[in-house]
Amino acid sequence: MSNNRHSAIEFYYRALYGKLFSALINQFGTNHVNEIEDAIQNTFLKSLKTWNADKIPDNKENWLFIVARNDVLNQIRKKGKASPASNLTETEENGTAENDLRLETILFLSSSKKNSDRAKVMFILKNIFGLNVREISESTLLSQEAIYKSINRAKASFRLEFENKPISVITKKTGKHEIVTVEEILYAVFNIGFDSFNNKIQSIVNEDLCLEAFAIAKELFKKYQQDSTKNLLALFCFHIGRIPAKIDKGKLVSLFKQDQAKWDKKLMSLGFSYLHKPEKLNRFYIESLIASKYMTANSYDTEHWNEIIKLYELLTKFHHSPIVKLNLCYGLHQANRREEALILLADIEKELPNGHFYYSLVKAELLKVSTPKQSETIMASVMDTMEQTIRKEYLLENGLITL
Amino acid sequence: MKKFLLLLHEDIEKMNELSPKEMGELANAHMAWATKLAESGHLISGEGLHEKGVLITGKECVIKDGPYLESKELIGGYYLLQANDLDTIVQFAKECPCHLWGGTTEIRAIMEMDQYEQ
Repeated sequence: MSNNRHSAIEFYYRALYGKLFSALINQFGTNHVNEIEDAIQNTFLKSLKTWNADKIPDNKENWLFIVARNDVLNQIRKKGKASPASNLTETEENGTAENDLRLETILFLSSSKKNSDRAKVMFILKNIFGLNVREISESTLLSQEAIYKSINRAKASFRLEFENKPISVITKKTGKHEIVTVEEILYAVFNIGFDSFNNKIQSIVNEDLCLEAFAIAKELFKKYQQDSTKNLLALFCFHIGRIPAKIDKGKLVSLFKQDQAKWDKKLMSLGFSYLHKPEKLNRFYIESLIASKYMTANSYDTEHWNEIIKLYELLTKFHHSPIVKLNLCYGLHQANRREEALILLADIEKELPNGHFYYSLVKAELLKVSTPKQSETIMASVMDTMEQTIRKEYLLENGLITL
Repeated sequence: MKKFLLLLHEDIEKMNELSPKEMGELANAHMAWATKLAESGHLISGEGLHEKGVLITGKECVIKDGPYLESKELIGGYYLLQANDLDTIVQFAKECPCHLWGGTTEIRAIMEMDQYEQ
């Protein structure tokens, strides 16, 4: 009985943070981001004091929203800024946390011309996906200071760009360009969750972050019915479906060695139902084709790799990224087309910072047969700079390096 | 049964650095723990306390407004509990979610006059 009772009152503050933030920024605008952040933090701390289950209001989300909204109002009054009392009555009707405005808020933030996509991702990770700076740092390997600065700069430029413009007016103008940006941002958030190495708790995937990006992408599709969003959903399904096989007894398992019985069949078939050829090709369609090929191949033989190579070659036309080229490079190597692989690899080197982790791994793999000494040296330097135990173990166990 | 006052000292700095996820987990843990206390019949009452308060000192009644951050710990709440012995309360207090983030629990037995007659 106590279990039922417990789950009934259980709340997920991380997702709730994004809902509250979205509702409040829609009401108070980009001028008051600092006040909104502080208000939500204060509200959560206050709620920690309501231990008694009988005292929890029936609608806790709404209650938290009202507490946070009043906190913002108090802060604004104390600072002597203009009172936004005119907005008050409107909020009682439609500004509650029940009315989930996260997608609208992401659309709105995406429309910014003054912020880079990376800065948008950081800001959105914090305020819509409810991670704090420490957690973002743990999942992105960026320093806390860099993230903190990026978010503060974004805050300032949102304020300048959107001053006194109601958010609803901006989101109503949403066009294809904004939708594409939102897709890219959701994919970036998803990838951060999918590759979230956390040394402290030894976890590899931040699954709820992935699921939330998926849920918001579903909303985006429902609202705008774009082919590209549908393709992104297919890609999410294929990736999420593999999560149960990605880790075995606390160890990372490479895609090619995963126990396929552990793949989530429901999500895979859902993925295929989303996998429709779009009128105009896009990166998500091609990437989901690649993922589906990996997941349905009987064996990873030369024929399989040649198909993968074709898809990666196509993908480079839609998505200019050295990582895509590295994947292509690895495919060429697996299909015994080593010379082509080496030429491409030399090309990629210029595009990446020195000692790039994935680049070094692919290079070491390619040189293993022809110049094993050089290959070993590269791997040794990778191990030296590697901070994450779980990745180190992976490299050691898969014979990618011998100490 | 004897009565005990359980005081929760919280590490304010640590609490302010918690992420939403961590705060949510802490809120849920507190509720689960309070429910367990109630169901086992040990709970008389318990409340969380505001950070702000007033200190009144001496004959002159000098009034000072809180919070009093001389130390980084602050009493964040209390529980009034009952049990046959201190040990039972110690066992419960060990599981108090307040300890998860650097907090301290303090148990004080309520003074009862009849204890002196024995």
